[in-house]
Amino acid sequence: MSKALRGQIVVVGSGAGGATTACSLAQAGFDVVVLEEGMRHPIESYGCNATDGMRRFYRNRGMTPIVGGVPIGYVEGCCLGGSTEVNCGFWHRVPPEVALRWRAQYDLQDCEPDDLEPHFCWAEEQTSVSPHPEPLPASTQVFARGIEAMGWRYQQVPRTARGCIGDNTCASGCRSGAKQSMARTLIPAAEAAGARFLTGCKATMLLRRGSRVTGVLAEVTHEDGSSSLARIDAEHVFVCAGPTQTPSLLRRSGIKFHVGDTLRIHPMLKVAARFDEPLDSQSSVLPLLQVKEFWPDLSIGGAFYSSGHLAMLLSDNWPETSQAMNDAKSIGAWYVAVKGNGKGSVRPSMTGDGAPMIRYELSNEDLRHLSQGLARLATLLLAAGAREVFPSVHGIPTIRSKLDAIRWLDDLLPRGAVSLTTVHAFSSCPIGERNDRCAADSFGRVHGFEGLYINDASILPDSPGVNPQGTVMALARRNALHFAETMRNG
Amino acid sequence: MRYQLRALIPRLSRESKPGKMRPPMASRSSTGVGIRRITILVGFAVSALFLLLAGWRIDWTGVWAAYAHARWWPFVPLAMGCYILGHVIRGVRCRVLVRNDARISTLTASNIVVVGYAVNNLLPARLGEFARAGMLAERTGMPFAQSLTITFLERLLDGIVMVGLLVVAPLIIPVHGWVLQSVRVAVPVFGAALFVVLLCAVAPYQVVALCSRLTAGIPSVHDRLVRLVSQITQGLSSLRSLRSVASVLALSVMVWLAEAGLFLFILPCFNLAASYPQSVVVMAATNLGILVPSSPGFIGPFHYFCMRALGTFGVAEATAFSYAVAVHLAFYAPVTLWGVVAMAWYGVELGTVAAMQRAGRSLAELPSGAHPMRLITPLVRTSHEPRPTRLMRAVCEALLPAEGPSGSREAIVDRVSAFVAGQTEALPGLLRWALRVGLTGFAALTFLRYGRPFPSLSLERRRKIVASWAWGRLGLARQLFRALRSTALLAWYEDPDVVAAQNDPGHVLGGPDV
Repeated sequence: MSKALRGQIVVVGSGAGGATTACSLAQAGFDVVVLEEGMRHPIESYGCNATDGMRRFYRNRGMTPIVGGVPIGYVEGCCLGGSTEVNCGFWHRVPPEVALRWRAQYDLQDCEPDDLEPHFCWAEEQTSVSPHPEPLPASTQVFARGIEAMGWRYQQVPRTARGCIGDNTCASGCRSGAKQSMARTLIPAAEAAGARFLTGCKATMLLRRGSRVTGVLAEVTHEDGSSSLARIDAEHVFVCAGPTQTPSLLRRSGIKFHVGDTLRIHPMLKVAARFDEPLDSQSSVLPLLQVKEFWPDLSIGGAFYSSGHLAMLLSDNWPETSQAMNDAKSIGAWYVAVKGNGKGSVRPSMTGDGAPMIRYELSNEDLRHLSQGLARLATLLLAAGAREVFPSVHGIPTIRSKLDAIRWLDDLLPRGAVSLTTVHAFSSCPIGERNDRCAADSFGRVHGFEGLYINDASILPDSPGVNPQGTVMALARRNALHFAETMRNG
Repeated sequence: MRYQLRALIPRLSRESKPGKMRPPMASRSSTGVGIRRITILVGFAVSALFLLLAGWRIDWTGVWAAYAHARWWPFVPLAMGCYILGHVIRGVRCRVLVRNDARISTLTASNIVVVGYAVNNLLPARLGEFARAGMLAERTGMPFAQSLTITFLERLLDGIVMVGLLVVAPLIIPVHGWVLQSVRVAVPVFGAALFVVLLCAVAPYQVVALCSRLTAGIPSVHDRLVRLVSQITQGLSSLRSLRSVASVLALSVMVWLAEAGLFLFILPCFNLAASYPQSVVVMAATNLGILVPSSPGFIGPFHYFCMRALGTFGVAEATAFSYAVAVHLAFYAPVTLWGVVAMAWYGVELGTVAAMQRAGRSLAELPSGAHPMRLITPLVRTSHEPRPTRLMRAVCEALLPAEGPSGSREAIVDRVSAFVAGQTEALPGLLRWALRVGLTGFAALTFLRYGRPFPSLSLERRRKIVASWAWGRLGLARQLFRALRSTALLAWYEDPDVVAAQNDPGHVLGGPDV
């Protein structure tokens, strides 16, 4: 029997956390093997239409609902590079007060702004974080007009997309290569440093000998399309499979201590608005500004737009709103995202392939913030000149006046009528020194186990209130360097 | 196509690493050979014992008289026909059981089943089960352990159906004595086996994880056990679909109801009243009885249990014995003949069967390729794009806008419904089932209301029906169509033809659908 591949380090997952871990450790001289469930796609296959993109790049073809009193649509990437291949590349640093709160509530060590500064700088350099070049697209300009009319604080969100040509293909992979996703940046860097990436390789279970993790059991897809169950031994395993897959994998392997009990998300309500002027949202990058006036409870910003996505957004009230499809060129899409105070969990299914079952119960506070967010966003858009605002709420087909909009500052949206989505999930395996709350220590080493680390969005102690990619990369880098340092010092 | 089952052995050798191939069983362990010989001898002794019991104190004059007055035509051909029909249905069942992993024709599947029966009739120690599994592995490319699991599953299904028939039979006709007692023994045995099988089928990851955790400290044992359990769980994958479970159970019942015809049509040969429920009881009791290890062809136990079961209905021993011998011949001859012809056709020689058994066993210990990781077992998967049902297409069409690019609408609806079918299949298990149940309920209620299947209704009528559900008072119905509508609309407005039409200023694509 052939000798097993014995990597010093096996990294499960190649998204923001996994690629950062692999790159950092490979450059530090470790023998790294990365297992990625999705496939490696050439850039020529990027930028396809939304339906092909869902088939190719997304987990479960984009059909991963979060169940609960209010079902929430959740999407994440499943390909080399993970969700960084299909997101819009927005970049935020973790707000200082959030980092301080993590220190206070989870006893998270070495995570204050000064500690994270070099890691954010490194990640921003690697992904060429920069503002969008002028001129800003029409959908951003009308949004800016509305924000200024309301007198609110806002910022243009920098992106990992230097040289973006605004062809609106972010959600199916950037075909111009401008977006600095993991497949364009850290994965080639990791490979140059000797890391090996096995794609089509799904980790099904962690192998343990007592409290020591000794490797991974994985389903491997070969070049000829056939599959095998394989064992890959390792001295250290970094699980970076994302906020839903990581806790599922750990729990399937019998590791359950504070694992998958505290999922947090940013629930989002989408809204479309019809203007008199053409916005050409279909062929330009999404609105780039974000209203910060009401942070951290809620954020307002631009949403990805295509005809198909607009139809989905309008479908809650299709008999009344379908005519709007004829004016698709004058319509843009925006969102209200709330911090997310509800409770969520991730459990592997007891039956079938053990896929994660994701639950999240929208709290009353979430619903109130969403209602107020709708009021504010609709008012903003009407102030910017929108003729009609279409919220994705069944029974509220259009909002045509500010008075109609403002009622949602006081009234609650009907719980069963809202269509919510999210692309931000985290905190399913929080890190910190508090054993009563955390699955792993401050640097991702899983409590009670040797050789096992987690290093992706699941480690955020709770909601950062902003797009988590930057925070995930900075923390992953910090943890990887800490691991390397610890190993060097014996 | 002529096919050499012998090819199995060199293939296995190629998959092994040089120097690591285990020697054939004969040289592997003299103890193993000894045990095998003892098993065979015990089998023959059991056969002799049951023959002795069957013939003990029997009125042989009555036996000869029964044969002298027997009327064979047209009953024996009818009986054999029923038995052969049962094997064809077994072939269909085998196809259903492997369809997650392989595609084989009903003829091939029936031949595989019959070869197994024929080998059991000709060789001892139920080697036919191994031959059947080996042939199935060879024809489908599945690992041997997986094929053996499917063979075991078929036998388990047979056992469950027989026990079920014996449980139901007393509700129709009086059943006495040891037959009822045997049911009391068989129910917990088959129940326990069914529980384990269902656990492996429904929660494969849990079973593999448990085995892995239990043996994590012993890598060589770990890999073997995980490989074996993975192959077993794969072999049971057909049981993960409720539709497949329903089909294999229905087919299993049909198999045995057809085979009961064998027992039914031999009754009038001996001037016995042809009672179908009685035949079912005799058949079930006989088949449970021949689970006892015995000689090739189940000679002895078959006769003993058959005559004793018939005896519980008041038939004289001599007549019952004559009946048992006749049924056994009708059971033995056609299938053995069919099996031998099939073996000749596929190139199986009797001498290779035991070798196949050995080779098949060694497969579970071998494969590892050039890949630099430890491959435990191949996984057989068929990935195919789900195809929309007629109902799904009809619903999607009713959900889409009335206007659209002229000329290509049908093609677009096809693409949209294919996309929706793919998306709904990608949903997590419970939600997928909820959607299926919802759609089935919708189709059933629509049929009851309009007297025609939903897809047969006019598009205008379908639009109205869908609208009444999608925008009605029932929250669950609204949720069902909300998911379908948004997915269908996404696919419609992302379709290249629709996008092209949308970019044409003269075209109108939006507009209420109802």
